Amino acid sequence: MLQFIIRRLLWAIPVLFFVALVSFFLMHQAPGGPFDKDNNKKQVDGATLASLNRRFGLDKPQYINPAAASRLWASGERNPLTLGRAYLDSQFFNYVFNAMRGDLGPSYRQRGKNVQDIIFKQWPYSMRLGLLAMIFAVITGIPLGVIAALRQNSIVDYISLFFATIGVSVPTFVIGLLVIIFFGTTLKWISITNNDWNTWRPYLAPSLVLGLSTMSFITRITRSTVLEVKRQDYIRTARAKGLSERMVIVRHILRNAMIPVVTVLGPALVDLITGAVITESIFSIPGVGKFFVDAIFQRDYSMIMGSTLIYATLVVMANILVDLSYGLLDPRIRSQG
Amino acid sequence: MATTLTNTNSVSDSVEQAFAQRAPRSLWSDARRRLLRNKAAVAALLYISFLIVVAIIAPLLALHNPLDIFQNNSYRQAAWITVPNRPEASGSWAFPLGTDAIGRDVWSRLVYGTRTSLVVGFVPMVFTLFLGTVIGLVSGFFGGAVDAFLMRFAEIVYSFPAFLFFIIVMTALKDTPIGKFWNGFVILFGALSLVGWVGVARLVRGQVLSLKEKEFIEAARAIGVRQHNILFKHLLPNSLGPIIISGAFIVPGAIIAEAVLSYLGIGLRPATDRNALFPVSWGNMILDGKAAITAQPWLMIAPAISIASITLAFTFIGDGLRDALDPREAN
Amino acid sequence: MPPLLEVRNLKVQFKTQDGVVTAVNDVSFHLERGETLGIVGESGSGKSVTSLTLMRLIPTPPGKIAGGSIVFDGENLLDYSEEEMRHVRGNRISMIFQDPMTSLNPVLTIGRQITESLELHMKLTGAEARKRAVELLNMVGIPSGARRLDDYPHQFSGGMRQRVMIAMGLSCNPELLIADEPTTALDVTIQAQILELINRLKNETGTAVIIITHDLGVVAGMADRVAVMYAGRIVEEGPTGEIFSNPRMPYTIGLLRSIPRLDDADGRTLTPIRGLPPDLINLPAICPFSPRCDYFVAGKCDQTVPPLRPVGADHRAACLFDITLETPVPTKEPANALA
Repeated sequence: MLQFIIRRLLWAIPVLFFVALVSFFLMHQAPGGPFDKDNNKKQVDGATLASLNRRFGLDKPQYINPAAASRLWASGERNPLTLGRAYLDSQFFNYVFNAMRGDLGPSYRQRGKNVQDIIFKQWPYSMRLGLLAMIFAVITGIPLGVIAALRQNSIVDYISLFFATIGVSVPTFVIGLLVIIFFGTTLKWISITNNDWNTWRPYLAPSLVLGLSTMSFITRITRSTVLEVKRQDYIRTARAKGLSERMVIVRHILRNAMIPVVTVLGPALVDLITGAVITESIFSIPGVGKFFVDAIFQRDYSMIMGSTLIYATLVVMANILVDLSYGLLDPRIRSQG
Repeated sequence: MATTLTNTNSVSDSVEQAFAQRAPRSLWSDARRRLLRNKAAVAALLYISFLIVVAIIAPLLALHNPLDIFQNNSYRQAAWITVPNRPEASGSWAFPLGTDAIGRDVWSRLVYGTRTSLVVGFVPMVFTLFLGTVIGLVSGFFGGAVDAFLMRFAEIVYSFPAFLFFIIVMTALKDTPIGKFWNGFVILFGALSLVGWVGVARLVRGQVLSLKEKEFIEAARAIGVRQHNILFKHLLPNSLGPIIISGAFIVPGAIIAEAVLSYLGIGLRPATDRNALFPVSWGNMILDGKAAITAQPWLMIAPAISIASITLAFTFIGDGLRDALDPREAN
Repeated sequence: MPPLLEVRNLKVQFKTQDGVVTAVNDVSFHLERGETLGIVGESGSGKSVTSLTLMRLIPTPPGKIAGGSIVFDGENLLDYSEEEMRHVRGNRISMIFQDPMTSLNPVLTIGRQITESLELHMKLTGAEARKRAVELLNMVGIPSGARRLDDYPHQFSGGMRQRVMIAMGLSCNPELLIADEPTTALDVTIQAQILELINRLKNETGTAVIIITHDLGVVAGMADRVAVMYAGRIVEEGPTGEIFSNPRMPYTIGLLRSIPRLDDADGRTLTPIRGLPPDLINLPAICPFSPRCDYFVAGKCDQTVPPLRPVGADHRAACLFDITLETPVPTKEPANALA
């Protein structure tokens, strides 16, 4: 089990490196540098630009710096570590090394602020939204799916399946916007502006909106796995023992049905994490997602890259967590280690 | 004697007929029957066919060119809404769903947006299925190092959150030459296909691996059927069911991705050519509508409902196909 | 004393998309205490559905018990409420299923799966139930049962799992044990061990056994009486020896001829039964075996469903003719010479 955790954690390294490399590569395909224009969109003069670029290391080569390494070699340096570091004294690797120390660099648009400062300051708001949404999705999605499957082809089944299908197929941002139009501006049940995001109440509507697609996803998966498990021979065995329907469901059906459900909680969690980006922006919640979207609109490349890395890390961790719980639930996997 | 003989035989034949198994149905006709019995899927298929017709005859349905700007008609409400004391903002049947910020007809834009949505749904699906099927077949069929490499690569790609990848690609490449090519369609299709293939490849590979063990493949090998014949005549057709099902679910995913990206302002570029085939996207319209939630709500409601209904329809079709092609799931 | 089990005119139907399947059609049989009955038939002959119906485990819908009665120890099980039925299942009647690989719950320890019914029916406490479970495991020949109680099914081999199933089946000392193809999924060497085990435990506990199988070899060694099923009906029934030495229904003869026998001195060739079993939807009211029958007589066999009629002491067969007097007609040749 421990070996399994370590293997999964090690696997996260190439994945995150790949994410960083691809984001870095793509971001540098965009025309123009980050400091070409100042906050008022005026052209920055050449001298200032050069000093800004030098200050943030943007005058260095993008990926590798063989020139720096050979200069050091020429000056008699023979320590391979020092030489290697000089060889990698490039924009990309400096970014990676800094990121590993928790430094995601300065924001290109919010002058004087570092990306990680912005992210960690806004983090609690996102956490609150995500947690509420996840709780809502799990505590309503699983029971709904179970009930639908146990009463297959009943009206309860049809209704929950219909709404679950709507929930998975209609994009979160569309539902969010419609909720704002109908419950916000028309019915005025929820307030759209001037919300105090340090309290819990204003999170209600956004977390329902965000959790809806995850909930529907969980409902659908739960329904189909419970249907599948219901047909298994061992359920017939359990019935043949004379167990009551409730015991058959709780002890035999649910235990087995939860295994596939937990495996899809990984992708569901990922949807939720990335879906939060749009939800925060729609409801103006000052979380990481909203700043991420703002960064997209403002082309704040360092902020986009930093947030992407953070989100990717979250996603990788969520997947590891899910694999772990999978192992805990299924004795067949557990014994393999 | 001869008569008795024929008589006996015909009686015994009729007995056998009475007992005969109903005509065996092929997998595909059986699947089609099951699909057509699924009311939601049939309704969804009809709806999509209707949208395809709308997309084709868009010029006939649109009242104006979707790019035409009507001066002094900005944010006109939908036709049935009257704004007291403001005739210039009140609805008019010249603009059934009102106008946007610069006075373009929402109805006409909505009609033309159907084209974009359908193309954005279908084209990446074709690319994704092709890429995924090829990689999956190769990986599963050849196995060994090729398989190990491809699947490790797939796992890395899979770990990259798709939505973030789209955002990065679109923001970074939006203003580059390839980003501008065909108003950003090319780059959008590329991004969608590059992410989606992993799921298909894994599916096909799994299918190939399990089929490879089946007796009929071993039998084909044993009688000397060539490699590429096994691949294309046995493995591919038998993997077709899952491929079709995943294709049906890729379509709404792509439509949603386009809408979200356009909503973030990094999707398709607004067209300038009046004769453009795909002048408007619903996602772009929603972005326009966000600025006028109270002034002109239909600018957002109309495309939002359109996106919701098209993705819902594709999901129903996907569910229907899955139930029809995977008898294990059907009841 | 009335028989332990008396099934009369049982009829079970399933609704399918193509029509109503009558899986069990007018089936009657009885079973004395301590007796072993073998029910033999091809797949689809209704033998498994019959056994599930005895436990009222047919999923409804699509299934439906359309008629008949199942009198167990003087009471009709079909009149029982679901709650009353639960006290019968696993307690007075228990069942062993075909595939031990899939019939045990993969996420529960086998200890948990055995103690479950002990706690339920015998009201044992957790500790008592575990003690009894260890005894049961030892009884079915699983060594060091105490240690294996906390193992999961995937840690057992197929034969061992079937032993666990048997331990579960016998845990509450049932009056009737139904074994539905208990050895079909096992290796041949293991098959013999499991049959031997069931035989031994049957004699030790005195429980009555219904053994469902497609394998005449299995019933030969175990059953006191045999019922042969075809197309949802019992087509022949009698003492095991009678059935083997003096089969009176052409289908039974066909079955016997299609099994290889080592003790066949004259080296008779194996003859498979030609054709396929009938479709159970809209069966015409004729002898269901007639299209495959070597003794087919036009104008007779295709007119009515032959009733089960006595053909010997405690021996009944569903054939219009006394086939010991007839000679079989090879495939498709005129049969009227016989009539």
